[in-house]
Amino acid sequence: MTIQIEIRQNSYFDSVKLMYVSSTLRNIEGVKQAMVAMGTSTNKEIYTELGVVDANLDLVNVNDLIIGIEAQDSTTFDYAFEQMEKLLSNQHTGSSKSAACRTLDEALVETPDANLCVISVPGQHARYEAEKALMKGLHVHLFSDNVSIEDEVALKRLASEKGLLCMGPDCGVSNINGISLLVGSITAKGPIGIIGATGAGIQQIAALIDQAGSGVTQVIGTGGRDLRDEIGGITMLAAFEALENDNDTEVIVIVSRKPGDRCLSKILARIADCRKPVVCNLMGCDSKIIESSGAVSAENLEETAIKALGQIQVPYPMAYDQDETTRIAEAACKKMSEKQKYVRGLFCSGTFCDEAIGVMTPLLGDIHTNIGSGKEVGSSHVNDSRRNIIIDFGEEDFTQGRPHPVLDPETRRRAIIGITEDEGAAVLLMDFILGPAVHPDPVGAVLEDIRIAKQIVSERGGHLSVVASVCGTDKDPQKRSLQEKALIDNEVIVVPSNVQASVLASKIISLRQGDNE
Amino acid sequence: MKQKLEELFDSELVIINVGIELFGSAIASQNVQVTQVQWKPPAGGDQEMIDILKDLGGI
Repeated sequence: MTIQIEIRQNSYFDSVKLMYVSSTLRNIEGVKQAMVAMGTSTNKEIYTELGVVDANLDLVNVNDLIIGIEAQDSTTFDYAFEQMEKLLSNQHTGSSKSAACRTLDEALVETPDANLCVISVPGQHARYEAEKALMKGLHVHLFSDNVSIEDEVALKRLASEKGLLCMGPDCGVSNINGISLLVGSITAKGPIGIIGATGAGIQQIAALIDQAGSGVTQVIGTGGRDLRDEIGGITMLAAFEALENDNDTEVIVIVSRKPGDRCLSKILARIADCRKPVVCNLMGCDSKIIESSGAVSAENLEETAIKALGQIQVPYPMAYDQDETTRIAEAACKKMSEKQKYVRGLFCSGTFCDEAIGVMTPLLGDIHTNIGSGKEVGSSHVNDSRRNIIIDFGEEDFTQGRPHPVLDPETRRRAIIGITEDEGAAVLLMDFILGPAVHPDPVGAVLEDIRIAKQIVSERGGHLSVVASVCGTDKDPQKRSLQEKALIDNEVIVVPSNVQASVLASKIISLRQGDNE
Repeated sequence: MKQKLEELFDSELVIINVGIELFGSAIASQNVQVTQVQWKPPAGGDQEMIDILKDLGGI
């Protein structure tokens, strides 16, 4: 066994890059452990827990790179080390200006006509960097999380004073002027403007609108907390006014988890004054209260897309068909063994996981999960028998030191074959998310595992029904239609939305449990 | 608010990306001009020093 620790002083790389490098090294056969990370106190603790003893470890700071690789022999170690060097030196530039700017000021000298600053630094530095950008007159798209409420309010107030937009903190998805920002999809231009506090939510709505043949003017992410009373919907209201004044926007869609009571009143009053039709998906709010403002209320993401399209008389060709769903569910059930009665949901997106739970709970009773207030399932419980279980692989348990599953499918991939250990598993429910910044082939990354899982169940006389939805468009680099075809070619049932996938999975489980009563 | 946001909606995006390179690269792949800032924590991440430097206007 060859173990080596190397410390490189003043050699900073961003966390996504390092998590990708570490993850790639761990996947090399013969590599037992690999962690390439900056010298933060958390990372130093992890190295210590891994048994690393190095006197210099205490001396490193956040700008120092710590490389730790353990391999079965020196040949494997040398190969892994060489791969690491290649990955670290491989710049993700593609940028038209790749000059080595160290500060925003230097970047502004290079690009004096810049109009938007994307910021993804660690949370404790986010306010400082975002303030600098706003003071320079740039709109801000702030991906960083772990930003305090106080800092968020300060940034959004500053943006408001300057007439600028502060999307975020914790904002991963927007589409401005047809350009996908961060982990969003590329969508067609059209007359619908979307503002939302849930990234995958606004991405799903925009993608379904695109798939129905229409498009969006802007998709504006606000960050998840914007409609809390402490923030007061500052970004939502600014974006709302801009879309109302935008000549190309005919319909405004707003999406959020349940707003604070005071903020809800403010939003509804603003909607009541709006000259354009507004479709609202404010989760957990009474639809009658929403409709009292003149808005159209929608219960889920797909219904939001359908109702927005309805405002501009564009039909939705992918609508839910109850007869077809029943037919598919009955066909799936015929091949199952007597023990198969439960759903296993393996999700990348917390929003889709949450939506699936919302759809399935009234149909199937309690769903056991690792998210939300009722969470009681840990990462080790994926294969728990006799229960319906839905897991969000984007949760902290699964992402410590690893990229989010939309970037790195490995953790979720490993769970696919694992679900076959439990003979109760009848349906595997999955989401797939596309876009320029996410994994280049999220379906391809898991197909072999799906094939093996199906084969294992088939060999013991059952049938594993795999139900999936793909959130994205044909303009995304992965192409939605190709990703869906790859799934269909491998006997995966593909439906247009996460809601339809959840309904179909519930239907199969209801039939299975009915059969066994 | 109206004016600067309307300006943004009517303009080509020109982006400065501070932080994760992957995001800058994904935006640049859509034929958008992106300038990458090779950001690293100021003052070696020493919060006390950062606060002092901020007060002095040194960062």
